Amino acid sequence: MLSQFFILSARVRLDLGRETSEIFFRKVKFWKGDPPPCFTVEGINFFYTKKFGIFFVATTKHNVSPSFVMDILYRMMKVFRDYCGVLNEESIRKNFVLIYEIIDEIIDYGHPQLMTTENIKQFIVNEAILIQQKQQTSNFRPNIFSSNTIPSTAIQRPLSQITDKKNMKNEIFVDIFEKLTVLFNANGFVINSSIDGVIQMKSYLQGNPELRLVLNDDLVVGRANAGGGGGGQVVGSVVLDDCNFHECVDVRDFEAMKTLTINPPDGEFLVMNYRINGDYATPFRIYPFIDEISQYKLQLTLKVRATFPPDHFATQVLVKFPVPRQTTNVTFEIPKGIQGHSAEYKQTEQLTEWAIKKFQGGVEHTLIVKITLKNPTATECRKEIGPVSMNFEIPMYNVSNLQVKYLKIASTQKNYNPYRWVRYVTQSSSYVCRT
Amino acid sequence: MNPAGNIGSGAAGSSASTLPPPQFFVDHKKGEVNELKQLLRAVSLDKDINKRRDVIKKVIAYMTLGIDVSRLYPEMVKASMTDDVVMKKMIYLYLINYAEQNQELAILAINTFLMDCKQQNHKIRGLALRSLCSLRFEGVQQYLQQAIQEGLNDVDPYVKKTAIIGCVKFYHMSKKDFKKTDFLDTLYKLTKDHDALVVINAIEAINEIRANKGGIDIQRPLVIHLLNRIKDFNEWGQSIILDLTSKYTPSTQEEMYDIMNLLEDRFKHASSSVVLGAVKVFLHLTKDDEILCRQVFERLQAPLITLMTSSETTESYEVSFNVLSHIHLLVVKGANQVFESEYKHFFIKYDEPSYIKNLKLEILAYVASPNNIQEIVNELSEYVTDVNAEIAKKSIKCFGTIIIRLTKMSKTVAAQLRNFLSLRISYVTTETVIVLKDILRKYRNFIDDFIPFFSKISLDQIIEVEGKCAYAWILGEFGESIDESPYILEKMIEEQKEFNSVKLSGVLLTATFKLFFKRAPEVQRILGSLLESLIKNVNETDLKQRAVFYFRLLKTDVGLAEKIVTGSQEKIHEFYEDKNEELRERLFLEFNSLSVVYQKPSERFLKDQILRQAQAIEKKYYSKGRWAKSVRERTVGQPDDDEEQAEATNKIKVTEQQQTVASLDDLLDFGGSSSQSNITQNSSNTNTTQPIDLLGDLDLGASSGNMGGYQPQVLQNNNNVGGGLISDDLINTTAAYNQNMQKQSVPKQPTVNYALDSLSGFDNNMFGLGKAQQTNQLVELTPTPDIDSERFQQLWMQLPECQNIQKPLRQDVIFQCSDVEQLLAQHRIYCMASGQIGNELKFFFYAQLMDKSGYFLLETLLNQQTSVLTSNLKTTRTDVGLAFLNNLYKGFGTLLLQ
Repeated sequence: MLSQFFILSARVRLDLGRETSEIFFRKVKFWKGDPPPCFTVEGINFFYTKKFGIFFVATTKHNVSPSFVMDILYRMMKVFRDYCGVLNEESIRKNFVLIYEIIDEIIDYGHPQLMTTENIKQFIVNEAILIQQKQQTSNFRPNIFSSNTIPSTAIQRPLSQITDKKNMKNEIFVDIFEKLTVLFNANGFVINSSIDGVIQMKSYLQGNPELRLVLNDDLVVGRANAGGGGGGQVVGSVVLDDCNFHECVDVRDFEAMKTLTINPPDGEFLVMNYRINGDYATPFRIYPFIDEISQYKLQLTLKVRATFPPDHFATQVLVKFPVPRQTTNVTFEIPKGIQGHSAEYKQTEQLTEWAIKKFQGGVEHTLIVKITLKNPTATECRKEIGPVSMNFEIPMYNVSNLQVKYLKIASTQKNYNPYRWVRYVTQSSSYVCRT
Repeated sequence: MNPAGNIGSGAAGSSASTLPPPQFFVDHKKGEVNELKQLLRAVSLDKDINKRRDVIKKVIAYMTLGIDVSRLYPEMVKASMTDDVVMKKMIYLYLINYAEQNQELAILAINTFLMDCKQQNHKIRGLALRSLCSLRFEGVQQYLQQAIQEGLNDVDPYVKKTAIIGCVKFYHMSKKDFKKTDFLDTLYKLTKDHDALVVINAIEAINEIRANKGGIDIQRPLVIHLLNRIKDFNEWGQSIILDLTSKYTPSTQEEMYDIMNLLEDRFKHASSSVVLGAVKVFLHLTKDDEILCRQVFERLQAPLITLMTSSETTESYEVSFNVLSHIHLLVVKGANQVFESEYKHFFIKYDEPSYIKNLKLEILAYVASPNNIQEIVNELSEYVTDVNAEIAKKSIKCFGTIIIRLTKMSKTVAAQLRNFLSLRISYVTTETVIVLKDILRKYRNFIDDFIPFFSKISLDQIIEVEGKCAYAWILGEFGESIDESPYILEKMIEEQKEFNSVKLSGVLLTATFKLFFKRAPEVQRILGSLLESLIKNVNETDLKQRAVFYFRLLKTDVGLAEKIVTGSQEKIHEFYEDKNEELRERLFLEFNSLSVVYQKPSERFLKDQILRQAQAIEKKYYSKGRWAKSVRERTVGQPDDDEEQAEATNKIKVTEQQQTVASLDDLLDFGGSSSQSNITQNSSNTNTTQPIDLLGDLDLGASSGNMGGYQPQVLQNNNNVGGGLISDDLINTTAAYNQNMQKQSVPKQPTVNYALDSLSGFDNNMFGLGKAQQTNQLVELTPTPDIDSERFQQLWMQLPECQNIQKPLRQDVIFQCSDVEQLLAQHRIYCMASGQIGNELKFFFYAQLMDKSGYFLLETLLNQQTSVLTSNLKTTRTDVGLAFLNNLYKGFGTLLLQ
C-alpha cells in the first residue's frame, strides 16, 4: 500500500508530507550519476519518474513490488493526460482541483482503486482548463516517443469533452512505431540489430465500440514457429520474436486469423508490444574513414547512405560522434548545393554533430571533418574518434513490414463512419557505427 | 511559488467560458483570507452556480499553496449543504484537510457527511463515506462504525469498496473498537463478492488488518476461486491475486500443474507487475524441483526480455530497471544459460540512464559463456574506451567477473586486459590493476603475462587509493618476478610520506615486509626506514601497532617471520561476493519486491513494525521447504502475533538484556579481583585471545587476507615471546603508546581483558598459564567430545573412582553455575548437568582426549560457604588422569586459591 503520492516540480507542489518531499528532492539532486527509479531512505521507499520536468513520486514503507507502484504512477500520468489534454507543469497547476479529484478516485488510503479513464469518468465533476501549446511539440504520445511527426491538434483534446459535445469528431488513431537498434562494426557489418515495436491507439470513438484489428496474414510469433529454422527470416513473412498485449486485447483469433479483438479503454493505450531480433534491411548505412593527414591532423570522411525507397524520407537526422580529448579545432566540409545541412563542434562535450533536415531515400551524403590536435599524437587519438551514432525518424515507413490490414469498428448505428488514422513511424533507438 | 501570470490567455473552452477564467494562483497578502470570508458569505445565496464554484475553488487554491484558510471552516460547512456535486467535492476536500485543527467544528461536518451517506446518488454516498472515514480525531469512531456497517451492505459496489477501505481506516484509528465489530468476518465474506474491486479491496484490507499475523489466511477455495476469474481483475488486482497465489502450496502435483496452466498466458501480459507476479508463482511452485524450475526459466526468458525492451522503447526506464534487476537475480541464480543466447539485449545503448547500463553490464558478465565470450569480450572492450569513465571502469570489473567465473576461458580473456594497460588512460589502468589483483589471487600463474606491463606502469597512471593498494599488493606478492618492484614500492612509499591514507600505508607496510623476505638486500633499507617513520611519526594507533608488531616479529625470529609471511600461498577458488548463496536465496524468496532491486534482504531496509509484519508473512508461509532456512535465520526474536504481546516480548527482552549486563558485571568484578593475584606473576598472563582477533581483523582488512590465517599460529608458537608483545598491543589500543619497548612486564590493569576473555568462547590458556608452564603436563582435549547423557551415566556407573581432590576456593568471588561452565568450556571441559543447592554448586563435567581415546568424567562441588572445591574424577584413561587434573586447575584458573 502506498503512503504518499506527490507531484513535484521546481515550482508546483501539490500535497502532502513536506519533509518527505524534501528528503526526496535532496536525495535525487545530489545523487552521483542518474538516481535509480526507486531508493530507500530511513525506512521510506521512494519511487519516481520524471516526465516533462515534473517528478511523479510515490512512497511506501512496505516491501512492495516495484512494478506494481511504477504501473500506478504511469497510469496516473496517462489519466491526467487524458483529462488535461497535455501534461506539463502549467496544465497541472491550472487543473489542480481536477488532479485532486482524479487522485482521490485512483488511490484510496494507498490502495489502487478505479484505474481507467472511463471508470473514473462518472465520478469526476471538474472540467479541464485547457492550455495553449506553446510550440508544436509532441502531444499524442509525449511519454511514448519524443517524435515530431504529425502533431494533430485533434489529439490534444481532453477526453472529458467527448461525451457532452455533439459536434465532436468520431475518430480513432492507430500508430505503428518501430524503434531500431543497430550496431555496425567499422567494416559496416551489422553486429547487433533489433526492432522494438508498438501498436498504439487513441480512441475518441463514442460508446467505446469493440474493435477488430487485423494484421498481415504472414505474421509469425516466435522463431521456433517460423519454420525456416536457423533463426533467419523466412522469406515473405514477418517473424516476431515475442510480443505482449494490453489487458483489453482478446488474442483468441490472433494465431489463426491475426486478428486482435479490442475493447478499447478511453484515451491512449498500447495494444501490443513486439520485438524482432536479427537482420533486417537497415534504413541507413554509415561508412566512416579516418585518415592521418599529419601528426597533428586527422580527417574523418563520413558517408551516410539511405537505403530505403526514394518515395520516403527521413527527418530530424542527426549524426553525432565524439572527437579526441586533444582536439583544438574542428572544421567541416558540408555537402555543397544541398539545403538543410549543418555541422557543429561542441567543445565542452567533445562532440561533433551533423544535422540533416530531410534525408531522401536512396541518397548518399558525405561529410568531411578535419580535426586539429594539440599534440602530435594522431595515431593514439585516432581511437578516440567515434563511435558514430545516428538519430532519425522516417514517417510512413516501417522496417518490419508488420501491417494493419484493416480496422473494423463494430457498431449498430447507421452512418457510423468514424475516421480511422493509421500511421507508421520508424525511429532510431540506438543506431551506432563503431570506427 | 510564482504567480501564474495571465492564465486567461491560455484558457479556452472551460466551464466558465463566458467569464474570464478565475485567477487562482495570484499572490495574496494577509487580509485576503478575510476578504474571502466575506466573499463566501456574500456569494452563498447567489444563483449563479459558477460564481459560487469559483469562490470555493479559490479557497482550495489557497489551501494548496499552504496558506492557512482554516478560519473559513464554518462558512465552508455551511456551503456544503448544496446539491452541486462539483462544489461538494471541493468543500469535502477542504473540510477533511482542516478537520484535525478544527475538531469542534468538524463535528458539524460529520453531520453533513452522515446525511450524505444516505443520499440516493451512489456517487455522493461513496464520496461522503470516503470523506467521513478520512477524518482522523478522537471521538469520530462512533459515527464511523455505523456508516461503514451500512456501506458494507450497500447495493452499490462503489460504496461497498469505499466502505472496505473505510474498515482499514477505522482499524488504524482504534484497534480496540475494531475488535468489537464483526467487520473482519464481513470482509472475509466480501472476498467472494461478484465485483472485482470489492474482492481486491477486501483482500487488501484483511492483509493490512491482520498484518501482524501474516495477512489473510490463504485457503484452497479462495485461491481457486480467485484464479478462475483472474481475468475479471485489472492489472493491480491480478498482481495482488498472483502475490497471494505465490504463498499458496498446492495439495497435489496435479493442482500445481493446473495452476501453472491457468497462469501461463499471464506471461503475455504487457504489465510487468503481472508478468513478474506470475513468474514468482511459477518459481515458488517449482522451488523444490530443479528440472521443473529450469523449464520455468526457459519459459520466462522471452517474456522478460520483451518487457525489458518494450519499456525501453517507451522510455519507461523505471520499469525496465525493475525487470533487469529481476533478470540479474535470475542469471546469478542459475538461469544464466537460459539468457546466454540473448546476450545482445544486454549491450548498452548510449542514451540509457547509468543505472540501466550498470545492470546490463553485470548481467553480461554472468551470461558470458564459451559460446558467446568472443562477442561479449569485444563489446566490453569497446566500452572501456567509452567517454564515460564510470562505464569504462564497470566494464573492466566485468572482465574480472568473467575471468573468475569462466576458468577455462580465463587465460584468453585476461590477455585482453593487457591492451587496457597500454591504453594509458589513468582510470582504465587503475581499474585494470584492481581487477588484476583479484584475478591473480585465483590464477597465480597469470603473473608471467603481466610482468612487462607492471614494470612499465608509470605511477601517475594509478589514481585512487584502491588502485594503489592493489598495485602495492601485487608488488609485494609477486615482487620476485617483477625486477623493479623494490624501487616502485619505494617510490610509492615516498609519495605516501604523510601517511594520509591509513589503508594504503598499511598495505604498503605489508607489501614491503613481504618483499623483504624475497629481495632482502634491496628492501632492507626501505623496510627499515618505513618501520621507523611509521613508529615515530604516525598517530594512527592501528598502523603504528602494526609496524611495532612487525618490528618485534623480526627481532624475535626472522626465520619464523618469514614462515608466517611467505608461507604457502593458497589459491582462492571462489570469492565470497560472487558466491553469496544465502543472500540470493533470500532474494529469490522475496522475488518481485524491492529487495531484488536494492539487492538486499528486506530486513536491511524495512523498519520496526513493517519489518515484523514482513517476517510474520514469511514465518506463516515459508517455514517449510526450500526457504525454511532463510526464514528461520532472519526471524530470530520473532515478534508475537499481537502488538500488545509483541510489546510484552520486547519488555522481556529488555529484562533479559539487563540480566546479561548484570552477569557481565559479575564477571567484570570477578575478573578484576582475581587479577590482583595474577598480576604479580607475570604480565604475560594477561595474554588473551582478544588481541589475536584484533590483529587478524586489522590484517584482513588492510592486506591481501592471507596473512590473517597465520595469526593464531604466531600465538601458539610464541606463547612466551609473543604473549607480552600482544598484550601490549591490546592495552595500547586503549592507552597511549609506551615508547619503552623493554618494559614488557609493567603491571597493567587487565580488568577489561579478563571480562572479555571470560565471555569469549575461544580456546586459550590465559588463566594460570604460569602454573601450566611449571608442571607442563596437560592433556590435549577435543572440542567435540562424543558423549551423551546416557553414555555419561553408563560410564559413571561403570568406572571406578580415579581421583578425589579438594581445593580451596577464593572467598571474595561469588559466581554462578553458568560462569563456571563457560570458564571450563574454554578449556574443552564441558558440562553435562549443573545445579545449585543453597551455597553449593554441583556439576557433572566431561571431556575427551583429542584422539578420542579416553573420557574424563567429573563430579564437582563448589561450596561457596566453606570455599572448598571437591571434585571426583573418573576416567577410562587413568594413565593421564593426573595430567587431566592440570587441565582442570587451569580451567578453574584464578577461582582457585593459589
